[in-house]
Amino acid sequence: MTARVSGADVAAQEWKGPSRRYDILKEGVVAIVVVSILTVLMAGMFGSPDEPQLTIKAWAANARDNFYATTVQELAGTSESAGYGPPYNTAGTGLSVGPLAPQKWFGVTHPVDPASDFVITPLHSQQQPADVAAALKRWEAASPDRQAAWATAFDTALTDADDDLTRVRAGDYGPVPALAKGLTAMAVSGALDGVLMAQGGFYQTDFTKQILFLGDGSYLDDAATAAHLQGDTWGMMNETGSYPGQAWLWLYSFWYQIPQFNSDNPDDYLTSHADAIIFYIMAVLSLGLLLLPFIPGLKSIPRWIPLHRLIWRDYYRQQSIDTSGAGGGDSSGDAGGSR
Amino acid sequence: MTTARPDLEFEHGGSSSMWTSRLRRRWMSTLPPDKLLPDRQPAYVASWIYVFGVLTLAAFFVILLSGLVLSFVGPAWYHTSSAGRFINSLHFWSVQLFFIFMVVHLWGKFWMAAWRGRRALTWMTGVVCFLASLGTAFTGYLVQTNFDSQWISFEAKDGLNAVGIGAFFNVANLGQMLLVHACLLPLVVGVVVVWHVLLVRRHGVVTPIDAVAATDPAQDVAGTKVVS
Amino acid sequence: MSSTIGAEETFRVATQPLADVNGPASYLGWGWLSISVPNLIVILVMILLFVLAIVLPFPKDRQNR
Repeated sequence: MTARVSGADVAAQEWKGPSRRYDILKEGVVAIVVVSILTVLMAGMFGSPDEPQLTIKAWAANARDNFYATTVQELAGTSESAGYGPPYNTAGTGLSVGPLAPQKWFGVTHPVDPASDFVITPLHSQQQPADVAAALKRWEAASPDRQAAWATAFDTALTDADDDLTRVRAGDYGPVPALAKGLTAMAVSGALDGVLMAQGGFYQTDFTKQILFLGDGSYLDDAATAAHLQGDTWGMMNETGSYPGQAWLWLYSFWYQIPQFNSDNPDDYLTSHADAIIFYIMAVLSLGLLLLPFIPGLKSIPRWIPLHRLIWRDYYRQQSIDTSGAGGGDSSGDAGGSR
Repeated sequence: MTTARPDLEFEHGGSSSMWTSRLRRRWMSTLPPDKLLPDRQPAYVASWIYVFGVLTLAAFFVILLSGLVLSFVGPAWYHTSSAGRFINSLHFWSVQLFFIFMVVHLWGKFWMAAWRGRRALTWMTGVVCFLASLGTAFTGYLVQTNFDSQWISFEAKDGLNAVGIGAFFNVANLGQMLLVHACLLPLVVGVVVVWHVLLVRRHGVVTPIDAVAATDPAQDVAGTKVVS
Repeated sequence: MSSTIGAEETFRVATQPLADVNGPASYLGWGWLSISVPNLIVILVMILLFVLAIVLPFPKDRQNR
């Protein structure tokens, strides 16, 4: 006689019912062989993406005006790096959402001073032409206020002229134009890549300064746009070339597509705080996935939408045979699992 | 179970103060050999959905193997070597297969409500595997040393900085990311995967929803007394 | 001839990708929804595998212990 015990109790007990043969080792070996063959086939047929790295030399060579203008922004403190805040500098306070301000709490742990790190120190590391050397001397002899005045004035003038040097109005820009010219020449020659790489030492593995500087300009950004990698076009999920990307990042990428997180107004709260808010949303959702077995409602979805009746259809069919035929007699269930 | 060896008396009787004996006894009662390496499973384990767990494991194995080769030769080798490019491709596609199989496995386990019967920890370790794998893949993309790495590090820094993680986890530091990707996270994923698989072995495959307990002795192949 | 071609070269030729997967991908989009064709293929494959897995019959256990 088959007793009807509740499903919950049964799940917690050792299964004593019908069983079937199972070769766990064979299953593992077959799986490894199948997956290995699949992998070799796909690797052989499609290769893998490897879009060559961008260099500062290529940036200065292909987008010279933009490189020059970015250099001026670094000196003026108007570049993205210059105003970033922690963990690079104290120019900003970082993002806070309600009482949560971890960006500020952890402070500056990777100090970056764009004017010094991207422009002045590299210029100092090499013998410069006479005009650039003189400009360096003049820059360093000036007070910070004077430096800011020169650089800001030139930055504004350059922006007004759409980065076209030939159309910049006359003004008191001090040594800034010469410094920018000197750095551009260094970049075009390839020397700047080397200097930023070594950073006065020998061994180093930290590329923070290079990536911040490269990202301040349009060269990296334009390459990303061309490859469909921008955050507001589902770029987080995409890969270079025609390769599959990270489809598993679809939900993280999704929030950045919502107009509220994506507006053109930089003062809009949700847009300006998107990075923090979306991260917290994903953290909460991940926690929800982790704790799913304990969340009422969510944990009952498999019961409400009974896909499991398809998966275990043989079992349920046998179960209804057993219960309809059982009564007080022997179960018609099979012993040993054979059907 | 009786033993003929008096020196093994402590295995089943009395209280042993020895850590080794206690651990062995605990292990043998929780995961005896026939649970670790079974040759039978419940008859209801009869669906193709069940193979996606082992397929995920197999893909993990190929990832580790191809990753070992890449770690031996360094992150820049594959840019200039055809053999390197092929090994990189193996690593790339095994990762794609890994996530495909893992997600199908996750879908299956959700619709089976596989956390039932005190299996919540199995579900949770599975989710941790998933999340840790996301992190491992992420650091992998960062250490390709190509344009993709440059862009991903430039973008990801903003999200991580916004929540303070960037203060100590620097996506632009190739050395840090390479070690996290090739050493730290594979170890974490490996340990949690082993834990997850042992939990499945320990608790057995979850019974069907609304399953009925088998109490008819004729249905019990093990021959031991069944629950009534 | 193969004796004059090094192992590296042979490997390179043997492992040339069959498809040009380095050109830009095609994208399908509706409004703010946009998905690359390769990603769409991956997602469709996952859905197909799931559906087939729960629908296709599983071999019966024909032998007893």
